[in-house]
Amino acid sequence: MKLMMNSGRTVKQGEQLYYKESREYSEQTSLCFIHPFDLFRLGIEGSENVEIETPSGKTVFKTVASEDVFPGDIFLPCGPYTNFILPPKTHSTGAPDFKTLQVEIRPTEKEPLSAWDLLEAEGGARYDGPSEGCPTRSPDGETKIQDVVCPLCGCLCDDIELTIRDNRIVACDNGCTLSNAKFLATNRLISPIKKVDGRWERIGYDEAIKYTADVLRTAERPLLFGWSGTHGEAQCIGVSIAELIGGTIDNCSSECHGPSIMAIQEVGHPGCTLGQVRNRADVIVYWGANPIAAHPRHMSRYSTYPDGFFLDNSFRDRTVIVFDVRKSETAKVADEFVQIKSGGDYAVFSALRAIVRGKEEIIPETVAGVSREELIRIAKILLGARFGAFFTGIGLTQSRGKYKNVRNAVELVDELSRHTKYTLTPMRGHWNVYGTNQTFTYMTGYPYAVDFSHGVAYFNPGETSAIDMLSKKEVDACVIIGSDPGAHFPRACNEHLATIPTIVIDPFPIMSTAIATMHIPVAETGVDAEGTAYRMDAIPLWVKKVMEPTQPDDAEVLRRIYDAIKEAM
Amino acid sequence: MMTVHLEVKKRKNPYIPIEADEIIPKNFINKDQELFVWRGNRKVPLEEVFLKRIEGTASYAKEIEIVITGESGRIKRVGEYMDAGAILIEGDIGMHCGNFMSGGTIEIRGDADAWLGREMTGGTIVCRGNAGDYCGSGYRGEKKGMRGGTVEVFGDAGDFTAEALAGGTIVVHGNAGDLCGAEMKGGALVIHGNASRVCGNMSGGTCTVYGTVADMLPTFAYVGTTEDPDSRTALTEFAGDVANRGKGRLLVHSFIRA
Repeated sequence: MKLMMNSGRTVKQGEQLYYKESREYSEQTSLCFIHPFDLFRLGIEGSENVEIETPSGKTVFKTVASEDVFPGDIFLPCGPYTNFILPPKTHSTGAPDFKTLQVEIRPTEKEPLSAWDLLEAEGGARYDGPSEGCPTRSPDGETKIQDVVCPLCGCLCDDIELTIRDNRIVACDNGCTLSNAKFLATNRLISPIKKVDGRWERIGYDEAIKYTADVLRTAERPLLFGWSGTHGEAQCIGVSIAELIGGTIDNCSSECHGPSIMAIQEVGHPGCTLGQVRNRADVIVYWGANPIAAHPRHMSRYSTYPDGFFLDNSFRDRTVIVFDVRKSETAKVADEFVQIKSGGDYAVFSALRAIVRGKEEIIPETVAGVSREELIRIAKILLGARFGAFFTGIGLTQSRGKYKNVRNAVELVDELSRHTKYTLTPMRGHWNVYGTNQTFTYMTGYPYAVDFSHGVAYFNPGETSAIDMLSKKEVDACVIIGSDPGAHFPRACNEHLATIPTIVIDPFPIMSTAIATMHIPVAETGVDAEGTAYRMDAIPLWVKKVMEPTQPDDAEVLRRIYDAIKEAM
Repeated sequence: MMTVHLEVKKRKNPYIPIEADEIIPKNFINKDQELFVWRGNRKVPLEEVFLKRIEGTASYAKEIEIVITGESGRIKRVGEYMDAGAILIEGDIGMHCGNFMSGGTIEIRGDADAWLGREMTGGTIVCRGNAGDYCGSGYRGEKKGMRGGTVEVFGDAGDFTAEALAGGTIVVHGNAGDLCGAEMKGGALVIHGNASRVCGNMSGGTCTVYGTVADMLPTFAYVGTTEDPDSRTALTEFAGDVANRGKGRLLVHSFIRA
């Protein structure tokens, strides 16, 4: 049976981001949320297994009956299972079809594989040894540290309180469930490891840095990918390495909000700080975004629930509207929920623009599953705002149309701003993904996918973006830092990474470790390393360390790699 | 007249892209001129990638034809800034073929990768196979795509074909992808097959689809029906995109609403 697949974040998947070696991570990312009607059509019930197939591959998922998805759609948590069947085609935009992808689904007696099994099927070698513990050092006794910045999502909540004892964080207050999980994670990698004949061997930092420098110096099409999970100072050194070696440097934007940036390059960014939204906004629109799963404190800190300086009764005075293809957790607490047919966002934006323009008579009876009357009613609510704020998610950037969806959103904001005040903020995912765009732009002129192969910066998502380059097998050496393509890139990319020298720089063993030739562990920013990060509204914040490191941080490792390359040139 | 034969040599790693923007007719007027291409991050002599053979002589670019043979699907930017002469590609060609071209002719007997004829202002490109995404479009953030000349694709064309088309003509004999003619400002886009969500946000120009438009956008105002004088096909005419002041013209044979 053919169904439309959308993938995205779930709370449980997010909680396991720093426990990817665990069974729980495999279980949470191999779920398939499906409408009971479609289960009936398949002749099975919830909790039974299905095999999902695309032209790129097939694997087994466990079904979860859910009336939150449209009949005809399925929702898969993002992770190695979804990416195992994801075609790498990006329509020359840099971002593949994580959403609005047609799949074939059938009942099966087979059980889901583990995440490591999938990575091995892609050519990797698992690294699932026992926990090596935490290499951090804390003062004697128990210490409480306040006003810690959380390095998990783009909210960068700066009111976290941590309790530290016996060289580790033992309690996290004020943080969301994702924040807690990250701060309490201790399964760090202690020393560099190198793959020799398919097995992992421990090596020293000097050998690891020399190997990395030699690989990068001799490569003809090297790629430096990731960066969203490290601080700005390390990102800047990364850009310098890319320029030195004539490489391409790309960050996670290219598969998440890169299309938002492409739209902004076309029509501008009507942005504002989150403080403006908190204190002024009386209409909040989440479009293709589910903050309760991906940015759990966004609504309580910035948009829906906090007191606003210019609002008498903030919570009651605000109207929250959610546009989505499924009834997400956020949709369930919103004042208005508009359910759009998968892939129909562009048409709905266009219709709203025309209605705001006073051309409602040309709109057909329904647009992407939304009735004309409903659109006119919602347009009136939008126009009634004194200050409105759009928050756009990867439901727009990863579905068909990609950046054109966001462009249309910006143009709607432009249209609404002829009548009242509106802004738009992309819901940036990784804690410092916006920082990558900032640092890359002020150093190269471009926010991501920057190709230095000719000695000057060149930018063209679809050509110089990581997924396109890897799926075309262009890349002959790769450094992965502050990201995990092993879990989040299409299978074809991982299969290529497994055939070339690939070096992972990360505090934790991750899915990408499996497809790498070497993994260099580093101190974790926000725990035992510190640096600059940019919040989703481009506000820079200092992410401080709360314990002393015993390992070098990203910046130090990169500086040593840079020096080693320079010396050998 | 001069014919320049360029045969792509076998390469150790055939996946590393080659950027060959120096392959345009006027660069071969002086037979001894040293030309370079980029293989990844290495600038290498043209002869390291191509076996070169020249027949005849020429005083002007318009007297030169370049014939490219072999595995040329990863060779990018051939014909960039070309202003006269001819290029014949026997097989496939990589991205950005004919970028900013202002004159002359490029014929591709195989498929062309993305950004074929990007921002071209004149000349003719004929692609006998399929064209990739962004055929005749603009660069990222560019307000105008192709401004003049003709691109004719005998196979299918990819997504975002004719994005921000501002002048000239693009003809696709097969199907075209999603959001073709998005932000169109002028010129003509003709699609003989099917397409989806054509001409989103168009503000000028004419697009004709002789097949079916899937997910037809809701912001095109019905004008009337007409008959194409050449093919005698019945067409429905719309004005749009009304979301963007609706100054464009869209003619379709049939459509399915979004």
